[in-house]
Amino acid sequence: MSHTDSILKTAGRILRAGLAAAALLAVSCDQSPIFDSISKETEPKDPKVQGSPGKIVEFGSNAYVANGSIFRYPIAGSGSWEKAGNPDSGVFVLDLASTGTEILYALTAEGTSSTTTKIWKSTDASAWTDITATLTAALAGYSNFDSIYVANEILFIGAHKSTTEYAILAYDGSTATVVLSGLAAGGHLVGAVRDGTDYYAATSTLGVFSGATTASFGADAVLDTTGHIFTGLIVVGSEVVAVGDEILLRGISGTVSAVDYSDEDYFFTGAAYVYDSGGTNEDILLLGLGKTSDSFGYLEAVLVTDALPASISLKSPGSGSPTSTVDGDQYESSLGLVPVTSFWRDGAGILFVSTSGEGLWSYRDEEWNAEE
Amino acid sequence: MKISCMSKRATRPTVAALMILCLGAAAFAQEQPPEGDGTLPIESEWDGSPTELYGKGDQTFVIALGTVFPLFFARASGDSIENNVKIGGAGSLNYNYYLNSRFALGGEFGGMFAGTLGENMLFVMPFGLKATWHFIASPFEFPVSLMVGAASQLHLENSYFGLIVKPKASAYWRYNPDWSFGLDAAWWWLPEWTDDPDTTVYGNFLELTLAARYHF
Repeated sequence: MSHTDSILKTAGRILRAGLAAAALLAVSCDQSPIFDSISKETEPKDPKVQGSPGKIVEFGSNAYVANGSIFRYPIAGSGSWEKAGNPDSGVFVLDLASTGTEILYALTAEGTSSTTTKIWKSTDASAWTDITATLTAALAGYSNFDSIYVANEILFIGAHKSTTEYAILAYDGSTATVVLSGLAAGGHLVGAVRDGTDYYAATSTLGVFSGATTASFGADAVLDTTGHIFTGLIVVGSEVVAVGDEILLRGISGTVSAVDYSDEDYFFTGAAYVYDSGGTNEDILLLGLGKTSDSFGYLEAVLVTDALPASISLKSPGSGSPTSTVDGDQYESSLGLVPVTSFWRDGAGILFVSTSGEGLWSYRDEEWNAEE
Repeated sequence: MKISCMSKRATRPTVAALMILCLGAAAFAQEQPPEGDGTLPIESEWDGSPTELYGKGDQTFVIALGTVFPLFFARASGDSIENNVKIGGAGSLNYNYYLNSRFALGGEFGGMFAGTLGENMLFVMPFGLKATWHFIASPFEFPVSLMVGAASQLHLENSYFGLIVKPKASAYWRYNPDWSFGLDAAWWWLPEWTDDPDTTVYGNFLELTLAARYHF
């Protein structure tokens, strides 16, 4: 076979393979209007709060978020995110938690590569007090702090002393209490709420624990979580909603039942927020998506009289009514590509979200983009 | 078709053309004024017949690489909308079979990619049948073709499969009997018809490519 013949045969094979691939794609296409979607794209902005900001919390007249540094924004709106002072020079602020008006808490690391963590409190977001010693005195050895959440003005702290020994502490502003200790691997605290009568604390894989007080938590999880991962908790109406991988669970009147989403492949980040769409009885539960088979962003579940309906259906922003986003195509090509880790809405109705790796975003002028 | 000696790959039209050339030369030689009586004058039947560069059965294979420029997106109403597509890359392979000295039928497969305003990517992979008409001013050739086919279009997790119409004008320089090189300019017309007229969009792109064409 001559060299030319060889080239021709190779070219012929490429042509046939290309035609076969094109035919295969033709069969699998879903006929989405691509050009219409592209025409609605917007140019990404550079986020002012970069990286992976933590929870957005309200304290006093401002909202706060941290990405290593603390930023603040007026709750009333009509402002911009500005740097606020860190608790100490050289510390990296991992996350914040707030009682709303009394105390702002900060979880910090000593530099970006250190495993030494501290917890600070402030009554004015300016002067900070290190409360680490108080916490370690309550439970010796658990000096590595992983996460902080506030429920009913009580700070819940996830801590560990090794990869197989986890604990949950509580701090009421002056005194530390051991909620649970000696938790096995998977005891990482991922959320804490109070539903009016009881406290709930969710761990990564060991389940959701509950108690009427921080000192009366049962040693057994109130929810069987075998094979599942939890990422967050929220109170919706009178129900406690736990989110995790593939499942959405809720507790009704102290009991907990599973909502079957076996047909889907969701992984919720733990970000959850009740969004007031403005209509009567048209609140929406927003749930951050870490990854599914086809998208990130978040999903919506429409509430009925401020509570989850008996049958929950999840939908994408921009689809159906009510919704938190007007243009579903613009959402799909922007925030829909980014994992959402926290929600917050200012007094002017602007919805803000923390994202994983893409900074702080907002929904302004019917457009999702990074907050400049 | 090759215009030099073809060796083993010479085709029937090629041989015929060579015979025409040879006969023409012989005729020219024999049309000199007779030098003496008894010599019969021969009148050539081939006098004035042009030498065709292509003949039935000739084939070409073309590989082209270059750039694609977004032109505009238009609604069914004719209104132009933001296309938000950036300049991208394009390439294609095509095959042509000559039915006569000027006209060829063939097929084409190609692709393009381009970034979008939202920092996403658009991919289009068209394939189809093409008809080509040749204008020749040796050593230059100017094929004009029309491809009609289908195109798979991908953007994020969305896809669309639909019609493509691709008129193309080219200019080639015949480097040698085997190869010619040139420039292709093609218009991509990609209608995306949907059930909702408000989302129907006609995509228009200009593809400029450098092409290498093999003749066999």
